[in-house]
Amino acid sequence: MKYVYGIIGVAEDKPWLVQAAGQWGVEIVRQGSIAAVIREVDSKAVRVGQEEILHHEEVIELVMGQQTILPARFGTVLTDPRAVDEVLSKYYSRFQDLLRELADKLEMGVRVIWQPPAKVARKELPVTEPPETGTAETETPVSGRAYLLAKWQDYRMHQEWDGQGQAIVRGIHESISPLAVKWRLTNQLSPTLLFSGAYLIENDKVEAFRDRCRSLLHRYPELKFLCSGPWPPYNFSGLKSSNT
Amino acid sequence: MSRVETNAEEDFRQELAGLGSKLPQRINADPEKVEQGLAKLVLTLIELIRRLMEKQALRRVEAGSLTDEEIERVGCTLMKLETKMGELKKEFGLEDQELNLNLGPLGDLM
Repeated sequence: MKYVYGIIGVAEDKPWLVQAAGQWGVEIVRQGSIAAVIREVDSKAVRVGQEEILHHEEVIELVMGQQTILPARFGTVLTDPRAVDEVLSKYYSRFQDLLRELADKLEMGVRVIWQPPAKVARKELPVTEPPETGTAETETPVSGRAYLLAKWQDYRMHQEWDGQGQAIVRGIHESISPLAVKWRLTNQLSPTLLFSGAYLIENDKVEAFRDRCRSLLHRYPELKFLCSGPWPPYNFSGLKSSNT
Repeated sequence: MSRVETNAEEDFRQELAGLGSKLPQRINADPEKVEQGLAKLVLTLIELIRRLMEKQALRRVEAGSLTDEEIERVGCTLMKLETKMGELKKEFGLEDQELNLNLGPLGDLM
């Protein structure tokens, strides 16, 4: 069985391979102008631990420091010995295109935590009669109308949060996206994690990107920022399968 | 080479640890607990439908297309559904978060 770290082009020198082969038994399986970076493993089941995840990242970053790699997701194991060749054949031109597209580019990550507004002005349900029993403040509504009123106020509160949150997200993205070639954004992974963005940038833009993130700290002092990278372009590699 | 810059390290640690627990989980196929695994799957789907119904009702209320009588009736129905769901969750030992679904760009069910 082959544990897959990623796909590379074979035209370039590979000084990293000497280290990776000696230290971890990493090898490459070539096909035409591309190759899979792999390691022989005994089992399909990959232990998910900090050590294993860091090892995966270490190998990919070692390669990334010297040439473009399409990083595979942690835990990608091809069980059939012929599977590596088959995958390389099947997606040959796709891998070539991606390697060209991602040449000299890296990924940066931005995450933003906010504190959603605690209180939003309560609004009345848009109907004529007041509730017969119970109100929005009642913990257990006792009429259908009071129940719906409580739900409606909750619904409106989330709508207002969404509106305010989206305005902040737009401002952040508009500030950093001019430095990027591509991006993938995810909003509101949790009530407080407002924004998570992966940005594909050119190698020489790393410092400019970090500076831009730092400037956002001043522009949005109420928010908490995390800027990370450069990472292998996991979000742009197109390699999503695992345990194939 | 890779590095992380943040003005709130501990907050992000907690936030990301919380996200880890939300990763999709497989149905429990342990023969001893298969009933609970199936109940979880079924209740998740019922909860999804219940929430969709609730949202639709709120939109209709907001649009003013329901009479007071209809609002009362719809509200009562949704309230009873929620109560019943609570009883079933308790019976199968399930927490709200266990019935969560990632709805892609729409976010989480709960």
